[in-house]
Amino acid sequence: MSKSSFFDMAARTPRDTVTQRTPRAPMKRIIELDGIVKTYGATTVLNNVSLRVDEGQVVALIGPSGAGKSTLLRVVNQLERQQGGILTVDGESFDGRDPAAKLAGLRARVGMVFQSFNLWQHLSVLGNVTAGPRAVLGLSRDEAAQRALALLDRVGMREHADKYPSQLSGGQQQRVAIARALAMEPRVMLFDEATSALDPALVGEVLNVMTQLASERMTMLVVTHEMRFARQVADRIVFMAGGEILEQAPPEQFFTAPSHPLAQAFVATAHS
Amino acid sequence: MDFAVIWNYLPYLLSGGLVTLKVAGLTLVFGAALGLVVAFMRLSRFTAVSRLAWLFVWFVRGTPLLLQVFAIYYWLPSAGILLPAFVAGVTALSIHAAAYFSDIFRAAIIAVPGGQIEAAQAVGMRPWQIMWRITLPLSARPALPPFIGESINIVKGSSLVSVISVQELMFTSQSIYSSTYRMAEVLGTAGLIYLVITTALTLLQGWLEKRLSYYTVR
Repeated sequence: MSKSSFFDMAARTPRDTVTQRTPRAPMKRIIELDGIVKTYGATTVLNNVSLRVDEGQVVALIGPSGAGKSTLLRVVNQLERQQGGILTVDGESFDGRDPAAKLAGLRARVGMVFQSFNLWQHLSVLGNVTAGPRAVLGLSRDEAAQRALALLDRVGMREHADKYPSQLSGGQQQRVAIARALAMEPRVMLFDEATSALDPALVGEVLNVMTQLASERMTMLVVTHEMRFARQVADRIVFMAGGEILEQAPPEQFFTAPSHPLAQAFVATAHS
Repeated sequence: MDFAVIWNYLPYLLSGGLVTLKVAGLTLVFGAALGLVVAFMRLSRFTAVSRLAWLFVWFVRGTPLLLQVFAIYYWLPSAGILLPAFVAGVTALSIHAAAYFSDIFRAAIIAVPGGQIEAAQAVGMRPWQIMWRITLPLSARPALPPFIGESINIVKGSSLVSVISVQELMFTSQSIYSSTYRMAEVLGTAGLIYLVITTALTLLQGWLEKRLSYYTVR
């Protein structure tokens, strides 16, 4: 997949047509962060952050580095546990002190894609996508393989099913990582700078898959530096700086008329 | 030197070699299993457990293997535990090997990149699932060279159980040369037999390294 095909794709699924296509039932809240505080020693990384994401929404988290975007994302699947505040996912609440079994249950329903892919190096592509469903969901080898091959097909990696991660390009690895997360049939997908570690030429193929996922109304929380992607695919932009959410707005409004001074400065630099 | 004399005693030497193989093989199995347990204990988040494992390694690694062999064979009976020489020898060697294996395993486990484990957490695997499905398989390759190195040490160290009259290769050699006075020939042959066993382990390492080279950990 070339970069141009992604832009064709993005042009075909702008967010306004997506919204038209889906006559939405009353919004169902799926992620709610309420007064989240996260500190490392004396450093406050998240300072009383509250955020609400409804089912089927695509929310882009943007802002300068060190803003706390990735930490916020990692609180949602409790890879980071907050010191204060409550996380609620799909009706279940987490206070940062929950037992491991409860966290495993949460993570099975929340898919995550990492900046550095983190494919398991000792497993084939197929092994990477089947491991979670087999270990966590109790699927048989055949059931898991069937599900995995269908997903690998969707991300264009089926013909590489028997290869090992070290034999793949970064973009291919990241598409496998997306399939691996989807194989758990998650309620929510988290993307932590999924394209930041990629060669510019490989960014498009990953954004393409993410765009397709968004058009299928997957609930997505996306930390990204790809402003064009955020503008075209997200339903809402959440701008963070210094561990706080400073502004939330629909993309067009945010990118044309941001209200917070820091957001204005950020948009101005991003456009230059 | 007259190696012709060896032909008469070769069957005895070979059967001694077989006992050496048995002692070393059993030590490898029990030592590795115990070593893995000790490694898990060292990595435990419960301080008492981790300290206990540290003490074990400190003590076992800090005292001579020969002393440990004697202790288990001669001192345990006074505590009412009477072990046949073979069992006592394998026990002492296994405990000794476990101390070394535990650190080999611990180092390899620690070296698994955090992202590999985080990815497993992120799909909802439980800690023991992550250990068996992700961490241990990924530890295998970095652990392999020091593991084989320690296995070779076990083969050679098994000669120490000759002091409690386990009839392995070294014990057999000693009894042959003390009656024939063909020390050079007998020990030379014994050395060759040891070399054959350790060479097999070295070749095994090469073969396994190749087999495990399909992945690279970054």
